[in-house]
Amino acid sequence: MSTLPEAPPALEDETPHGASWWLLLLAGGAIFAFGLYGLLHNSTQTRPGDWIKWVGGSVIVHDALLGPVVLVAGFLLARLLPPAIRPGIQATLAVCGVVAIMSVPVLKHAGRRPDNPSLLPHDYAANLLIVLAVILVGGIALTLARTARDRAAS
Amino acid sequence: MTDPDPERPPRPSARPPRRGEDPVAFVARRLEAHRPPGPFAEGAFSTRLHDDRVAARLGLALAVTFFTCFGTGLVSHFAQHPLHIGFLSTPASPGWLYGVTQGVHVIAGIASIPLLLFKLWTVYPLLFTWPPARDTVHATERLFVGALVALSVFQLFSGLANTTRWYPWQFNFTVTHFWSAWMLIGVLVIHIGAKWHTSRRVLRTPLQIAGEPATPPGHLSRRGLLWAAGAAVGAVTLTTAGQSFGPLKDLAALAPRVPDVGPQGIPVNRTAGGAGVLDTARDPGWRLSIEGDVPTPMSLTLADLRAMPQHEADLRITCVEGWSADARWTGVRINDLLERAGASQGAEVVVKSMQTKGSYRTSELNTIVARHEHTMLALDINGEPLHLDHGFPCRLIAPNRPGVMQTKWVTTLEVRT
Repeated sequence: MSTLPEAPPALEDETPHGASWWLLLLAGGAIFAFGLYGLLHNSTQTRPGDWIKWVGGSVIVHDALLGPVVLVAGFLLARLLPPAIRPGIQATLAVCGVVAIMSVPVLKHAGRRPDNPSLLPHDYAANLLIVLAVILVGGIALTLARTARDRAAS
Repeated sequence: MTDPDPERPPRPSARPPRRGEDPVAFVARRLEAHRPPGPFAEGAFSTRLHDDRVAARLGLALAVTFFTCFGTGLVSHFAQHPLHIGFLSTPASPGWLYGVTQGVHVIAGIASIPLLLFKLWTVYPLLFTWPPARDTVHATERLFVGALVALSVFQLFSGLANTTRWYPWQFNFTVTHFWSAWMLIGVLVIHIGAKWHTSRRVLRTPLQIAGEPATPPGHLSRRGLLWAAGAAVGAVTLTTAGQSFGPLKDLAALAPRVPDVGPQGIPVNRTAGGAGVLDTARDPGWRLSIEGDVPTPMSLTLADLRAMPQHEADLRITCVEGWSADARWTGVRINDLLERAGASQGAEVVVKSMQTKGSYRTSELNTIVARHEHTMLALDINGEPLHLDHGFPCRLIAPNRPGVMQTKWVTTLEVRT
């Protein structure tokens, strides 16, 4: 008789196997090769030398810059926040961080042209602050409501 | 087997691989003993949230948004580059269809940003797997995962930057975004194959199994993390989707466009100044030429066009950057102009602008679009003569068509049979 079910391994990283792996490797490889062919075939427009800098840069910016920054921020938050409100505030700040990252292009507003007021019409720094404030207030309210509920239940 | 000298760790070349042994596995066995410290150390990351069950659920959501982007992207590509295969050609109705598919393309792309960031955070510890690859299959899979991460971040960043017309690179955006999308979908299909068994299993496993240690107080649960991801998707969607979806326009605080901001309440992509037509568009000597395969080529003044039967239609104008705006257009049907010039029923039309540069100076109308009741050279927008930036003296407007193909500052209709 088995006792309590065991917790599954967190990130198993199983070695790919079976028909699904080989079939989809073949299919996906063909689609990938088609895309690569198209990219190289249209090199006057796709500029593969420039392209690889941006594609490679994408993974470096994420894995070597954003990843460690988020880890350190998470580590600090876990130590600074009181346990009662920690999960709620961590989640709230994660949402704020994502919204801020998504806003980088409008904040940069590099595409703005003086003769086209319909493009990037807002003051995005002010708008981002308002959006972040709304998320923070909402997140804190939910966190406090939850803390109060847990306290009442115990 | 003899033990190696404990004083001197063996070099990988010290013992040749056994016959038939996987070379990657051979190197991996040698590396096992040399695990670097820091993030590579066992137990360097907590395991509660860095969990397959979270990763698979976020991965499933990303598969939905990525395939949605790919499908709607193909719709947009073939609307601009027709295949000339009957059932695959873009229909002329419903007129709002392209507005929906391109709006969904941008909304799904923006929603992918939080999903991807949460997903990459969840699986980040796998970056520090040691040894880096166990065998050739594992090495292959990891190489493709690297390509998947790079292409995903690249496609989402370049697409988002394009909606704000920010081009910090040298390549042509549309062509590169298109071919990179095929590469991305290819490595995504490979990734789905690699994670097939794991994800099928863990998607059926609840986030909290009976008997599993509960989330300790003061810590975020797996369910809490997924709620945060959902909230982030909601936040980025609500603050941007109004550029394509009118009812949300007042919430579009972070959108690069607002559907009713622009000259005459309609956004503009390329201005008259940007197109270099400020003077030529206002030239009183402007004429519309109808030429090519027609028995009676014509040259019409603006007054001639205004004297013809005027047609009115409510049509949505949609840009490839995702924004959409509805307007009431008034002008002369292309069909009426073709009839007047005596064009044959099967004629196709090339609409030419006075723009001297740019890749969207002309656009083609197939027979169906050219003869459609709502396809016209518009002279008025919402009851006023077109603003210079909207294409004065006249512009093409047709249903279900990308904005870059709604040629502005028209000078010539070239008829081809």
